[in-house]
Amino acid sequence: MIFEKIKKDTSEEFLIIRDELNIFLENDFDIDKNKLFLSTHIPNEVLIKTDILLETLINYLMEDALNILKKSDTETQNLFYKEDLRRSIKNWSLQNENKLKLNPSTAEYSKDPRSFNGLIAGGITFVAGSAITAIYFEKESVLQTIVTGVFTLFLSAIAYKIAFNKSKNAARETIKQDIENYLKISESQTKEWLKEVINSFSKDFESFCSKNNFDYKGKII
Amino acid sequence: MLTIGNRYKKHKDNVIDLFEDYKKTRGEINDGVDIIFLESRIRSLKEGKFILAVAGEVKAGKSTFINALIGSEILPMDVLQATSTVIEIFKSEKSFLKIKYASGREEEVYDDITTTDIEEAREKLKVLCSIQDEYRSIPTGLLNKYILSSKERIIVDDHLIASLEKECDFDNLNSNSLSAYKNLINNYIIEHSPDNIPSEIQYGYPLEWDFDELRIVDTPGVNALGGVQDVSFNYFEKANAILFIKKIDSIELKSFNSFVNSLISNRSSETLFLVLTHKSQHIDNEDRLLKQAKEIYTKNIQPERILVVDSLSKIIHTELKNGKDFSSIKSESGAKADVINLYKGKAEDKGLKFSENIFLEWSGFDKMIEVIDRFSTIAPNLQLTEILEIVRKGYFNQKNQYEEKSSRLEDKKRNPQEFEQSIVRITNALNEYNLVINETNEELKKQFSGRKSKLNLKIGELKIKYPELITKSQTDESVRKCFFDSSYEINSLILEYSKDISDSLNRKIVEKEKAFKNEYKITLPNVDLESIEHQATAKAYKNIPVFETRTESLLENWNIFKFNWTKKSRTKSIKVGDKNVFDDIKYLEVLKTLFNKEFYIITDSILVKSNEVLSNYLDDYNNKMLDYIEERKTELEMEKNNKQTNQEIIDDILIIKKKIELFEPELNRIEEILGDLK
Repeated sequence: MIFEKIKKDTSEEFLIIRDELNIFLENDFDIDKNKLFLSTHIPNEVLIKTDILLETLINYLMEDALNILKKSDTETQNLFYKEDLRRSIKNWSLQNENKLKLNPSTAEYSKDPRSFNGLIAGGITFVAGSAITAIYFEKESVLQTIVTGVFTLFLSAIAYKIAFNKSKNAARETIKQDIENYLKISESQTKEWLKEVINSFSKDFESFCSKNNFDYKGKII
Repeated sequence: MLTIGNRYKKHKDNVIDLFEDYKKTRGEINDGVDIIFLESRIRSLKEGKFILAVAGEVKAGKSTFINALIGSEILPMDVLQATSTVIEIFKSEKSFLKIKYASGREEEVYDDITTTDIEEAREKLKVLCSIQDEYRSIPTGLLNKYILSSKERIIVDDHLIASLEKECDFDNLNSNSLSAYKNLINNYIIEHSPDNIPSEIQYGYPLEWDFDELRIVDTPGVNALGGVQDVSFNYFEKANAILFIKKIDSIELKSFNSFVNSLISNRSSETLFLVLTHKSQHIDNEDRLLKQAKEIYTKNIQPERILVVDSLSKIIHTELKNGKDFSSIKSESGAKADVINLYKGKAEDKGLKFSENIFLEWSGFDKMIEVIDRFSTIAPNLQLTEILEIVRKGYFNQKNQYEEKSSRLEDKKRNPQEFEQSIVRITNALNEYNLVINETNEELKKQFSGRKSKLNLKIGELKIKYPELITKSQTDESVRKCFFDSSYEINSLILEYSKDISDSLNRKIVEKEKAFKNEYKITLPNVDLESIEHQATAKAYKNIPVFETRTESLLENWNIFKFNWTKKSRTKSIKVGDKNVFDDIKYLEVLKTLFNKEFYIITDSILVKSNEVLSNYLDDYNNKMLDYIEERKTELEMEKNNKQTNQEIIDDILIIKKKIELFEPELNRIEEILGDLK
């Protein structure tokens, strides 16, 4: 079964992508820089792998087809080579309606927990500070209220910064999870697409055989 | 006279000559050689440069060495050299200078024929190479780097002084001298811009050497403040030999090791020579120092590539040969006088005649030139060998075709019916051969594509190795080196890939041809696999980008979400006029990302292109073979239909024999040169 073989190959190739990405996802990786870089880099790598998988699949398909044609005469075999199914299936896979379209086309990330946690910490500090200012300094001088307000803002900013920094590891874990999800989706889409390639090749081969009056049993799948 | 490359030049001229003869005798016959491709190789052979790049530390005596090497004092020696310029010296009928400034502006200076006592080009070179006296105390190389990488005028303030202090040592300055120092730097910045800082200089001079293609390239000192520039790096990449100059008495690992390990690629290090200079100052300890150097540098260079010379001795020898006497040489320079006195004493001690030859012999230049010549011509000689082997193969193929034709004509003369039958048999066999070719083609496509192909597996290894090396690099030089090493490895991989295809194809053809010949007893057509291999490989290359140092402005660096609260960061985020800050750390990070991106672009495009190349290569081969089969069938058909008298057949056989005789002297000449090249 060609499809089972190529499915296994696909899983292995996606494992290789994961290995290659390790260097960018090591413990203390730079979140902003790598996030931006990986969002386009990973889909590119997936597409490169699908190209390689397509070549691998065509090798399997041609091998099966030629085994079937071994029983035919030299002329039919030469005609099959002249038909160049390798090229025609590649051309088919490049056509807009047939080519692999990854969805989403770039790696998408969940909300950055740093900003979220920072905003919560900063917000709580701000609300608490404002409430204290309102309760205790309501009847005092305007200057005192302003000074307390500025101090509240300062404390809120510090709280934001502390919470923002403390959430770095959580942010890294979120990115890793997002990437893993993206790879899983792409892997499944690639496998489906390769199945369509097999069907298309199979049709072309059947059409060649009937055109050249060559009967055979079985089917390329 | 400088003799590096002379033997290579002689062989090259012979190969070009042999090719021209081959082209004439070949006529219309198809001998499987791709003549258009071979012609293009000959053309690039004619146009090729032979580059000797000279590197070394500042004040190591590079200019003196170059002057000694070329036998003419064309580079200024007694000046403090400006550090950011590469000078390419070559032979030309008239002296002229072509200057390329950092802004891209170009200027040419020729000698004025009305002022014969002044050499304008040489004088201009002296001005460009020297640091003006008033700026001797400031790091001009580093300032040039700042000027070139900054988009706006640099402001001289405490921040700039701190940056300069960080990168170079200078004495503690009191407040008065600090203010004078700032003024000096300010004046330098006002006077200099990318429009007047030269980046490359070409100097043509009527030099006494035979090898017109030879280029001597003087590169900035490797420890120069401002660093090794991209221009130097590119010259090192192209060089046939890199000569690293070092004083014999300053044997230490740091500068040479960092040059080999961080500043040049692995490919370049294969062309490296270490030249230890100032031999005359240590004439009694020369052997000990050389032995010590060979032990110390053993990891980075083969011992036979470490050479000892004395530039002044060679210069004195040239001056004596040009008619100067000892007293006038002595009066010109104290250093030269010291060498003369030293050698005079040594010659007397050894009972030798004190003459100009002693200076040449003791300078070590002849031995050095011989060694450099031997090593640096290996690769170009290999190219010549390849061309000769193609031509030889072409001659043999023609010879075989003529001999076969002659034998068929003999058959025709003896028994016309048998001749016709044999032509039909050969034609049928050629038809069968079509299928064999198609099968071979398919086998190779399967072997060289897909996830288990050797190329894909190797690229997979590189994709783990280089992003890690680039990401973990600590300096921009190291990032650049890793990137160039990766490019070199990828290029080698592609060469290996196409060679593997070619070898496999060759093997399969030989196997199948053998089986086929045994069955059908015919000579099969062949094609120039090497030409297809080269063309296929050429399609897989990609230009390697070279990144320039670029300073990010404050505005670009500023990011509200970073929330850097340290004093330093807050200071950085406030815009104070138009000032640029060169952020080393940021630059390194950006460089790493850019090089990683480029690395992936190259590796991925190689994977995609390799499939194209494979398919083009094999289809090209297939089409050529099928064309040749058709061509051969048409020829046989024509032979069959050509009604000839016996006398006409005899005349044809005689003509063929004469043609074959023409090949013999050419083939003998090829064998002779091939023997010499090996």
